[in-house]
Amino acid sequence: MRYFRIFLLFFEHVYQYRSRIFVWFLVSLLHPLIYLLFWSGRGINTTGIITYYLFYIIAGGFFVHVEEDARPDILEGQLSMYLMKPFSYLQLKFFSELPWRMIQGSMGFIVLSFIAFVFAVPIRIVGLPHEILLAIVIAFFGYCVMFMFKMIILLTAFWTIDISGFQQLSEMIVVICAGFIMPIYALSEPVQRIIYLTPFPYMIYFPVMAFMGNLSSSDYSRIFPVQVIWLVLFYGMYRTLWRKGIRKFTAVGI
Amino acid sequence: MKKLLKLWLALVRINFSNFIIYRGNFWGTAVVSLGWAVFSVVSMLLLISNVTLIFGWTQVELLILTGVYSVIAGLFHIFFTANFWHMPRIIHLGQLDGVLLKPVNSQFLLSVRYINFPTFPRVIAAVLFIFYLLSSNNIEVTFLQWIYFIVLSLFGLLLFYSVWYIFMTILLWQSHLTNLTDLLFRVMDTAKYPKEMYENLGQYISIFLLPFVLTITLPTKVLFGRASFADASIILVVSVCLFFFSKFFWRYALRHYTSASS
Amino acid sequence: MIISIQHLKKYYKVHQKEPGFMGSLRSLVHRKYQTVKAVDDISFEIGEGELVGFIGPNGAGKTTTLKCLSGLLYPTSGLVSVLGFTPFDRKNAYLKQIALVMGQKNQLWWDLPAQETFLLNKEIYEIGDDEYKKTLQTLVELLDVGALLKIQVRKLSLGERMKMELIAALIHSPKVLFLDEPTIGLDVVMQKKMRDFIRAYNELKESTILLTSHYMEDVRQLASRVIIIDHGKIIYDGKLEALVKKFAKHKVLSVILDEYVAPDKLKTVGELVEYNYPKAVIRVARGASNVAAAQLLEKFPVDDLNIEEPDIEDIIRDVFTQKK
Repeated sequence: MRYFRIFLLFFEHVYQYRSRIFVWFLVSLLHPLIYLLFWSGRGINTTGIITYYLFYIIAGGFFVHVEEDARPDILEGQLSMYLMKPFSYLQLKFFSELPWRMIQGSMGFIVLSFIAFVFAVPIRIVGLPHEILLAIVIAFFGYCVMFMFKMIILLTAFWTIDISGFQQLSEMIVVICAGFIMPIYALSEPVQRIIYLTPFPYMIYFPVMAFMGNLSSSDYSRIFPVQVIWLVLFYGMYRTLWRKGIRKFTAVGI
Repeated sequence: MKKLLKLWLALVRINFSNFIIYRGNFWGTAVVSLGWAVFSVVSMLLLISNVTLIFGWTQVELLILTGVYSVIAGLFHIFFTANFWHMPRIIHLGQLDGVLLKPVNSQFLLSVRYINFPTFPRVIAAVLFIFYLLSSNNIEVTFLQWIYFIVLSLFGLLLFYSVWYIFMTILLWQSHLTNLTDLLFRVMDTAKYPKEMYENLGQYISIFLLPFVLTITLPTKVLFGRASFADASIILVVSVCLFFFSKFFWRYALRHYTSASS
Repeated sequence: MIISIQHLKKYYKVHQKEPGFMGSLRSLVHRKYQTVKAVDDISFEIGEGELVGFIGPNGAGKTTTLKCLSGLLYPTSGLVSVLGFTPFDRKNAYLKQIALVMGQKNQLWWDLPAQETFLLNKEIYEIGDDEYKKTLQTLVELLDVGALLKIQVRKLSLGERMKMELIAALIHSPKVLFLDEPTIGLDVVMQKKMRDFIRAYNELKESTILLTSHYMEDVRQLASRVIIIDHGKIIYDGKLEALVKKFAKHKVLSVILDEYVAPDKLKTVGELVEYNYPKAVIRVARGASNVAAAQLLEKFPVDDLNIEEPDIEDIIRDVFTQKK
């Protein structure tokens, strides 16, 4: 019950900043549209590719940015406030990030519906309830994997001085490997194989494929376990880094 | 004018001293900015894989376009970005007063106070990249073309600067929109692609985007000898107009500005 | 007159927002505005070289007035003139002659020695080489920071940093200095040093200084003339001693007794404020102080007797409560 109340509180806090959110929404809108435009230059205007990038607008809304809190929390010492609360840092971050993501994701969803119905652009999307459910589940797992990954990036701030540099570098890799620029199926075989070894396609690419109805049941049975593995792995890494980092943080004291 | 130049040189000096102190951070920042250059090349490679001609541009030409973008955007990052990054915070935290009290044009001070030296390697790498592509593809560029190229690039920079400053001025009314900088960076990214790509978007949008999108396309076309006078005059006129508008808008906004309470 | 304010008014429109989610929704539809009268028709003049204290409780309008004087705020109505300029025009020639020192707003470059920032300000204010050297030397001696000039700012203590900030703010030898709460947040030792500096600077440079404070000690130590402001209006403008005489209704008799006297007996003379045998403090009406003193000496075994003015804080508090 208290989680729900915290969630509501964050939600209200976030609502105050709706103009900021709108700006971020515009940010997530821009690049998928540009890439779509680029594709039209190749002469490809298929439903598939349009749907892909429209879904990536929504995905951009769900892109976790929690690692940006590394500056105020770790560098400037606000972490101390979190340590005093009866919640784990991970939980607090999770619930504070979620409202932002949901609001921005829903903005993307509104744009998608707008384009689909008003401009009558054909969208390829799953229709059957059980397919939608599976897609939602895989998306939720993907979100969690991404969240844990970003939390680990956040924790590296305990040891690096140049936080933003490291974050930017990781961002570049995520953007490419999660399929934002180019659908992974359109890349050459060896590149695809390398990318599938990373956790990034499992964060966003496969959920988008799921919502587009491109995944067979055998695909699902392959993807879920990998997501869970990454989740467990990241959680383990997080706990280790947290223990070591906290010792360093509280030793120095801010 | 002379006074501003003298002051600017003093700012270069103090920024350089500051940069020397943070030698360790230099490598971090340099690597990251080089990373962005590499990232933009990789993205372009991904996008143009399996296509020979797109929007009338060959693969090589598109890669050179990416290089030119790195140079111009890199120069922007060296001289202006840090200042635009600080501006929302300065306004939001009420530190604008300190700037307004100085006997210098506030727009000048806010625009050039900080210089980001570590981004230089990116610009140099991009220039080398362009030379490499030009020579390995036997594209000849005359001295006059280079001059033309530099002039148009500078006006492109002026255009970017003016648009940024105009948007930052909006912060005087809505000071919490600190993520406007992120949006503007993304919008700047649209210039990374050939202007022909935007021509399908319908009249209104392309006219609106045209000057912006021309900034990188045009100097690049100069290198291939394909630049048109019409396009060049558009950039010149629009950038100068926007610059003067940014000055006017800023002065107008300051009149309505109330400093944050103590 | 160097500084002249006539019928200055500064009103703000602030919109009311009710707390909670429903409040946010409601404010979408209908916004209620309230006019805040930060400064409500004030007028005064200050001559060259004066050191004037501008006092009042928090929110009285002191900072707003200073900001109007330095050109940061545009008056709602009224005339403001400093050194013959209209501050709001913010002409460079005007800005080169004034300084506004407000709180901890830092202009020093963090990782460099303070001297680098001074050199930058030298360029900004277009100060000549000789003049710069002289002013720097004067300020450095006054503040005693000669050894610290080449040390990185972030390695200095808070007090040392503050001194450097002062030098950076004054390196252009302003003719008019606006100080907003200069001693706020400082420890007792630093407060004294700050006051000594202000006094010395005023004497040495013959600059006009207007300082705001809500600490009485600042005013008592520095200003011979005080302007009291409350709720945007000036309540008093004149010499400090005159203020005391005009508003202090009481005098305070400080008595040292030889033998113990019951408090009730002492109360017949006047209001017994404090009694810690052998010391007693009695408040009496101003006019009756001599009579009361005579009474005390006559009736009680008094070892020592002092007739004093009440604390300035008390006087000012009385002034404010009177006005309500």
